[in-house]
Amino acid sequence: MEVKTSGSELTITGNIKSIEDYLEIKKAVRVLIDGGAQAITVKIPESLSMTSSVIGFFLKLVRADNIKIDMFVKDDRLMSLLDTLNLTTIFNIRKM
Amino acid sequence: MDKSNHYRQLTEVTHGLSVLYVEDEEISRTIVESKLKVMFKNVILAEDGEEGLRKFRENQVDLILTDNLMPRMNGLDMIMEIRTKDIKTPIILITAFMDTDFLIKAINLGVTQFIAKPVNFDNLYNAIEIAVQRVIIENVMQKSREQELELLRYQEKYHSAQQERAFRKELNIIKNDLHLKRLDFEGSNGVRTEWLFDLYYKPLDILSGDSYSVREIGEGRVLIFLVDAMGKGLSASVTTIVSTSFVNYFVDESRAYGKFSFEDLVNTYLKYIRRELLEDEIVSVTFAYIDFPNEFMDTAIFSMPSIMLQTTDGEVISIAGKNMPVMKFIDPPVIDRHNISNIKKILVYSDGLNESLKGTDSLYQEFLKSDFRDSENKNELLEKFSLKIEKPDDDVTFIFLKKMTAVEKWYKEFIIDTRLEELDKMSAAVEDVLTGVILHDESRTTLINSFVEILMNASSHGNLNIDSKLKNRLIKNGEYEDYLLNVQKDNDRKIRVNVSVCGDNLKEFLVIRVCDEGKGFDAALLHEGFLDASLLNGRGISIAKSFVDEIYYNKAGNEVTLIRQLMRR
Repeated sequence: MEVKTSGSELTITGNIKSIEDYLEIKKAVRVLIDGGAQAITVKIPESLSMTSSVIGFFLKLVRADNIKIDMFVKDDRLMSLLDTLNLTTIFNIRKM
Repeated sequence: MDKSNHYRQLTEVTHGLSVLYVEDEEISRTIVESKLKVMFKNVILAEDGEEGLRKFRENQVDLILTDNLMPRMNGLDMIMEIRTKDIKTPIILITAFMDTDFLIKAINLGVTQFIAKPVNFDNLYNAIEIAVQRVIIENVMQKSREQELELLRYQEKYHSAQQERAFRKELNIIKNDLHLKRLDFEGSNGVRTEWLFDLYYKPLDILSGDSYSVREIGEGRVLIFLVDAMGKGLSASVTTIVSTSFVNYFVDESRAYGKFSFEDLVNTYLKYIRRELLEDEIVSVTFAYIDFPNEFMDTAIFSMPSIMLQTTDGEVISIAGKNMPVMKFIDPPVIDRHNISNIKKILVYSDGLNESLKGTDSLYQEFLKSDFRDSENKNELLEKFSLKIEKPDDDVTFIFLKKMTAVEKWYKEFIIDTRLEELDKMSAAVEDVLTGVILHDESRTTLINSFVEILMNASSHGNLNIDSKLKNRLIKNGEYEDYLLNVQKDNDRKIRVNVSVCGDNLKEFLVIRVCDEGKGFDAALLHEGFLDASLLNGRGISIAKSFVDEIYYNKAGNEVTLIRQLMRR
């Protein structure tokens, strides 16, 4: 898995599956937030899934830190998972 | 009524309204304006039809009072323009011109009242009174519509809240002691045996006619209760809820006193429910008491579909009910005992499953036997059912029981400390092992996803004893990882992972077991109806479940088994 940032945009390539992946995502997002971003765009063009740690972290950003998240997901399985978990609205999830 | 009283009453009506007064003659305009200002909340003036039209569009106007002969645009032309967009606002036309054609044109344009020039104020007040009546009625109707909508919204909110409460109540009453659990016991022959349970419950309504209860009576002993009240709606659902509640109470009391009798349960239930049924009400029920260690199953089936079983030879057999539906007047029940020593799968279901219509002319009943025979678990059967039945028109409930008969072909065991870095190494190590077993990258990735969720749970909830509320608070405050690093320092508990491939001649399964040394918990609490969406955590099990075929906890709740069927190479 690889994380790249550009402005307030975060692109996560590869699969999000391990604890290390979660820590890397968290670190990258922290840089954006510490830089003053109030809204971030998360693009996930490849991953089939997302760990609960990453979900919890994004929920915390939205609910506790009032950060707006716009998420773009490509894989239908990940879309379906996030939809099943009722996260489509809170993360403003759209298909890539 | 004297004039002053009449005028006062009129003013009470008009003081909340706005009037547009269009008049080119300054003296007339000034005099009439002074009268209108006393009566109306807002008086908007215009000197000709063009200005009048503009001001009408810019303001909220309840009444128009206009002269006709004006420069730039006369009154009638202004009215014609206004009427292209607005047909409701009353208009009083002040005119000296009373030609028939003119009057007809004006009436057709919806002019409400006419006043002759020079203006007589009594006539003006009368005209205003008639004109505003329509406005008042419109306002009252609008207010009434708004109140109705408000009431509807409140009722909807109220009903929605009631339905939410009713649903939670229903979930509270329905009990499944074996939710996400496997039955692990020593058989009468001293051999350790595992049975897996899974259940599908899809009611059409929030309060449905189907209900169930799966209760653990003792070590390896299970009661299954499935009820389907005939008819739809609240009456049927009240009967099923009451039935379920009774059975659960009976089981709880029996367990408390250490004494359970299947025959007593059936007879006491019948005695109880008969009193509660209406004259024409009937209820279908399945009671099944399974004693796995002693390999028998007692059944009392009242007009429910047969229980389906598959033998170790692969044959599918049915146990039919011998009792009429439960009603106010009923014969003593027939209870049968069946030997299940050669049974490897059991299916208990309501008629919503087998009587679902496929197309217009066949029932799922025709396919159920073969689909059950070919399915390894509830999800597989559900997939086959869903492919054939687009939209069931009844509640569907089924309970799928399977004996773990697959032989272990190979296994690999890992034991690690409860350390964050160790967990990551473990997931990489397991992924390496899987590379030789699951060739498809995506399939392997999703399985690792499930495994990591379970591994994290074993670590945080299991060995480190971090409960859900604490975890939520730590995540919210951004302290979770620091807390983990801190508490794991003094923790010497281990996590054991066993990866194995099991199978028979026909199928192979990957089985991953994750065991922690924590105190465990009741997996029944993981029922989806109880998940708190406001928490930042608590979704790990849902994610884990979505990528495996089966997931089970042991009784203590400190060991999880993930099962994925492997594609044959």
